[in-house]
Amino acid sequence: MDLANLLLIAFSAIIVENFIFSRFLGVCPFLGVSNNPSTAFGMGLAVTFVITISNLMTFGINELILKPYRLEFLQTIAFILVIAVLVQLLEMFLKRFVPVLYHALGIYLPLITTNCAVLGAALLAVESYTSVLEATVFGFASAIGFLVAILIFAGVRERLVFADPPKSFGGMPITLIAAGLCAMAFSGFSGIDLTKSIF
Amino acid sequence: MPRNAEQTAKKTGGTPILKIVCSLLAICTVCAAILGSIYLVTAAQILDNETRTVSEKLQSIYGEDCEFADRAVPEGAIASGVWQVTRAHENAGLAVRTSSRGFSDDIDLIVGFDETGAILKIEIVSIAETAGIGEKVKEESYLANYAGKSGPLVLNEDVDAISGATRSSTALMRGVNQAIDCYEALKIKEAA
Amino acid sequence: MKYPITKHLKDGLLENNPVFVQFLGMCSALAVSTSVINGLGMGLAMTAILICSNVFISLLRKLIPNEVRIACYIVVISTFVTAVDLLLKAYIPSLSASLGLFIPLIVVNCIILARAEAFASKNGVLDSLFDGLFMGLGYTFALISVSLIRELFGSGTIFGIPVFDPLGLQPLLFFQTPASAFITLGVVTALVKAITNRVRARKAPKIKI
Repeated sequence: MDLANLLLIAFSAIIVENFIFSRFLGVCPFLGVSNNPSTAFGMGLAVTFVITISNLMTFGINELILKPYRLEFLQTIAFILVIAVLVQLLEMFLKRFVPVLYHALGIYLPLITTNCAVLGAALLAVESYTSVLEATVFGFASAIGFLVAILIFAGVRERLVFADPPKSFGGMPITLIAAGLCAMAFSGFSGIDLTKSIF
Repeated sequence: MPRNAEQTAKKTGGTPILKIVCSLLAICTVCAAILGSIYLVTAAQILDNETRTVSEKLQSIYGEDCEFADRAVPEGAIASGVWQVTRAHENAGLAVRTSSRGFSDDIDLIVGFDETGAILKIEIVSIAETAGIGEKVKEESYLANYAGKSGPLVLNEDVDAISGATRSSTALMRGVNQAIDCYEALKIKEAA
Repeated sequence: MKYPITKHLKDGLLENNPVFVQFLGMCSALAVSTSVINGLGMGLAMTAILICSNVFISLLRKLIPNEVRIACYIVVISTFVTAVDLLLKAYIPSLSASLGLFIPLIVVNCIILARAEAFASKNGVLDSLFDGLFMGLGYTFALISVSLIRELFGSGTIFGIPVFDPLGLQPLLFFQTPASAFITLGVVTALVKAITNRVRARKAPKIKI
C-alpha cells in the first residue's frame, strides 16, 4: 500500500481506462451537459465530489455489513440506495452550510443519482480493490477522468455549433461521431504498460 | 423553485408521515421477499457453476483419474486457489489459480505443475481480451509454449509474445509467474 | 386499455425509440454492442426488467405516496435487476460473464426510471405492460443493429459464425475499439433519422401544398 501503487491506480483510472472513452460509464450526462464548458465543469465537479464520498461509504458498507453476512448479492440495491440518500443529504448540507458551492453545483446534484458512473465506480471498487484508501483514490481519479473528458468534449462541441453536417447527421449523430474521434485519441494511451511504469 | 418547494410542503402535509413510512416499508418487504426467494433458488446453482468450471479445467489438465484437494494459499502469494493433485494416492503435482490484469479485464487462469515443478498445462478460466488480437493468448497452440517450463519466466525469452497483443501476452506471463511464485512459496514452506 | 397495441409498437420501435430518439441508456448501448449475442442478451434482460418494473409500479401506482415515489421506483427497479442478475449467473453464466458490470448498471439506466415516471405511474397495468415490452424491444432493436455492424466488421462473424473467413476477407479491428462504438451508433442514429424524416415527409405531403 505504497504511494506508487496509489499513483498507478490514479493514472490508470484517469488516462488509460477513462470512464467515458474506455469504460462507457456516465455517457448520458456526458452527452447531456457538455453543451458549454462552464456547465460541463460544474457537472464534473459535482460528480467528483459525489463519487469520492460514495466510494468511501459503499466500500465501508460492503466490508462492514455485506461481506460479514455474506450478502454480496445485495450490492447493487444497497449501493444505489446509499448513493440516492447521499446525494440528497449532500444537497441539503451544501444548501445549509456552503451556499456558494450549492449555487455552483446545486442543479447538477439531483441528476447524479442516475449517473451510472457513480454506481459503476462503487461496484468496480469493491470488485478490484482491497483497501478503503485504494477504493477512494480510484473513485476520485475516475471522477477526475470524467471531468477531463467532459471538459475536452465541451470544447469540441463549442466548435461543432459552427459545423454544417448533412441534415440527418445534425444534433446527436454528429456529436456521437465527435465523441468517437475523442475516444480514438484516448485509445492512444491504451498501449501504456503500467506494470513497467515510471513510478 | 420556491413555488415548487411550497407545493411539496403542502403535499407533505397532505400525506401523513405514517402512511409514507408504512408504504415504503410494505414495498421494501415485498421486494425483499421476491429477492430472497430468487436467491434461494439460484444460490446453489451459481456455486455449482463455479465449482464445475474449475473442476472441468483441473480435469482437462491432469486427466479424469486424479483427485484434487484444496490447500491454503501461502501468505504473500497472489493466488485465489491451490490444489494438491494426487493420482492413485501418488503425488501428481500442484495446481494454482490466479488472475492478472489484461488489456480490458482480468485474465483468470489455472496453472498446472507436475510433481517436479515444471508446467504441465495452462487453462484459462475467463478472459475478455480484444477478439481477434488479445484473445489469441487463450488458444491451446499458444498456451502449449509454456508446457515444460519452470522457474521465473521472461517474455520473449522463454515464450514469445503474440505480435500486436503485447499487453495480453504480458498479462498472461505475469499470471503464470504469480503461479510459479506461489508454487515456490509452498515448496519452501514444505521443506521448512 | 387506453392505447391500441400498434401505437405502443410504433412508439417503442421507431418514433420514441429509447436509444435513437430519446438518447437514453447510451452507456450500455455503447459498451455491450461488440457482438450480436451480447446485444441480444442485454436487450432481452432489459426488456424483462422493463416489463416487470412497469407492471409492478402500475399496480402500486395508487398506493405509492407522491413524495417518496422515486425512492420506491428505485427499490422496485433494483430488486428486478438483482433478480435478473442472479438468474443469468445461475442459468446463462457465459452471458453474465460477458455483460459483466452492465447488468447491475441497468438500475441507473434512465430508460427504466423514465418509463416508470412518465408512463407506468399514470397508466393501467396492461398499457404499462405493452409499453415496457415495446420500449424494451426498441432498445433491443437498437442494440442489435449497432452490434451487427460492429461484430460483422470487427470480428468478421455474425452470431459467432465466421462470415469473412470463407470470403477471404480480414476483419477491421477498429470496429472492436471503444471509439467505433460512438461512431457506429452515430451513423446508425443518422440513418434512422433520415428514414423517419423521409417517411414523415411522404405521409404528410399536404402540409407542403
